Amino acid sequence: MLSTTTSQNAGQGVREITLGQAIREALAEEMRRDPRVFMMGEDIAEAGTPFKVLSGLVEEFGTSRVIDTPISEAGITGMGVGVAMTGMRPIVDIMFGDFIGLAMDQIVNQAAKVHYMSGGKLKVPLVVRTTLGATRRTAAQHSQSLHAWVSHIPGLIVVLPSTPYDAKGLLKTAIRDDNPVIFFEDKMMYQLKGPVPEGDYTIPFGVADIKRPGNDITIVATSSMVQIALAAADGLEKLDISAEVIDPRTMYPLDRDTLIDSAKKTSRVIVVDEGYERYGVTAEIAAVVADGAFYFLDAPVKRMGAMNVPVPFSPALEDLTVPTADSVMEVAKTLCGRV
Amino acid sequence: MSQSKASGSGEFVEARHPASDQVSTAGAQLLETEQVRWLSIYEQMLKIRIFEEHVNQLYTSAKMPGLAHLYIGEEAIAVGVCSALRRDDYITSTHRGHGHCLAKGASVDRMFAELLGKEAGYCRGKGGSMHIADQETGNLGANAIVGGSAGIATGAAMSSKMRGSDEVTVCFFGDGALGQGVLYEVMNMASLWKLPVIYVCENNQYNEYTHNSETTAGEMSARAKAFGIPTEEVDGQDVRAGHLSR
Ligand SMILES: Cc1ncc(C[n+]2csc(CCOP(=O)(O)OP(=O)(O)O)c2C)c(N)n1
Ligand SMILES: [Mg+2]
Repeated sequence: MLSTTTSQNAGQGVREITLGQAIREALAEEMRRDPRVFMMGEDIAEAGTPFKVLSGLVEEFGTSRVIDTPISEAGITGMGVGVAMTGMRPIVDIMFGDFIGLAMDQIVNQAAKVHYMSGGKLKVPLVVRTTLGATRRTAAQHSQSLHAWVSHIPGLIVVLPSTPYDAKGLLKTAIRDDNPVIFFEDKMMYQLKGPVPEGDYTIPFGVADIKRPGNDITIVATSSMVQIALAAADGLEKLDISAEVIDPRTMYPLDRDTLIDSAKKTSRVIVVDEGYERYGVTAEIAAVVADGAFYFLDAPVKRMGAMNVPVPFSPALEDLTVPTADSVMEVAKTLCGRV
Repeated sequence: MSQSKASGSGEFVEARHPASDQVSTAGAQLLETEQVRWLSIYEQMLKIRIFEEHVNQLYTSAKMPGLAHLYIGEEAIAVGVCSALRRDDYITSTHRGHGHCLAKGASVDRMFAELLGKEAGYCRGKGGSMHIADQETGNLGANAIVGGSAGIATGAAMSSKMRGSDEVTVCFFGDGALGQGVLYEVMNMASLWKLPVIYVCENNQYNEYTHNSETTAGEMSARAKAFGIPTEEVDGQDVRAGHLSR
């Protein structure tokens, strides 16, 4: 499969912008396109969020469409479900992914259930934007990557963009989708630059992107771990190991075919994700690969995630809890019999 | 009489049950109301009572799967409130929701079909007793999470305001839901943003098996008052009180 990053860029004015700018651009374009789209969240208007991702939007769209709310994650998410059911297309901003715990009933028992439980009559076109990712030195309650929680729940779409291009295209798709979408942005990647077309384009859900083609080993990586995997692939190239890096982009729907095809081709697979390794999305992806490519595999599918420990504050400790290019390279070398 | 349009911010009505120490102040207005209207309101209450008696029969004879929370004894609240609403006004309901659905205009046959898990039911058998939703009558759904629809109801009211339409949303919940924090989060926003929502607390004194004197501190209605929400306590046995407290 061709990388959509190269195939869809042709023809439009492409600039290098940051992931944060790509998010802002997607939001602004969608709010211009559709008057039903609006945002609500804590400190999103004048403050533009603590990450400054939304700076400037309130100036264009006003406080009736960029709404500062009380610090009430459950309340604003629940209201997001209600507004979405009745003709609006809300985007609820949950500052840190760690805080979705407070909104979990609204996400899991309300947003995810309404469409099915009503026999398909009611729809919840809600987007919850939130963040993931460690190494910001913000300790155990501001550093988790909790996308596995919602990926477990039927009725939710879960999106993890890893590049500015993907972020813009996937966010537009999320806003136009009639299902609740939980959209996780890596807070450490907001400054990451990449090519992004001006104007409108969307990226379909459930289509993985091959970020780097290769033949000897497949590294399936999500969100923050895609850059890690690409750096590992660079290092492996010097050792004459050709690594293919695949980003599923959406945890659900999951592009099983692209993952399985790559595994069949390379016969070795590592899955890298920043969520806790225990019961994480890596386990699901590894199971999908093992099931679909069993007779083609030359080694067990390896999972790499965050260490199973509350994220420590001390930088020296924190850095030990997440996969790095070096640790991914080591595992890849082992799988390829190069120790 | 058109009391269905809320002019200001959210309202909180505490419907007491079974008896109230407070009598409706609106008796005088009632006399002017056509008998026909009240007769149909009475019929609606009776319809709910008979519906629930049938549900009870189906349930106790094991013909109906799942759970059955009966609305018997509380008919006046749903009918009093919903008879003051338009078809396009919204309601959200609870695990004890048959009465709300019927009072808002749901049809008996599709209700029964849903309770029995049939395709012809309001949710094609996917929701059952505790989840009946009917877009056509503005019913955004019964909810089996205690207090679970407070966010949806308040969001619906926010939507009406944003779309510039004049629907009102009524959020029904039991006295047990007063233990849920999300209720206070959304009441705060409803008042802050002057949303057209009415919170109707059906106080039957019990939170499942436990009397609310063991669970609920202070004055119930003071909780809504604290957010600056106009609050009224009415007799939940008096259908006229529920209707006119709008
Ligand atoms: C969040 C949640 N906790 C507990 C329950 C279990 N439960 C079902 S009904 C009920 C009591 C509810 O009391 P109340 O809200 O007063 O409604 P009533 O049944 O009296 O009409 C409880 C605790 C639930 N459904 N949801
Ligand atoms: Mg009760």
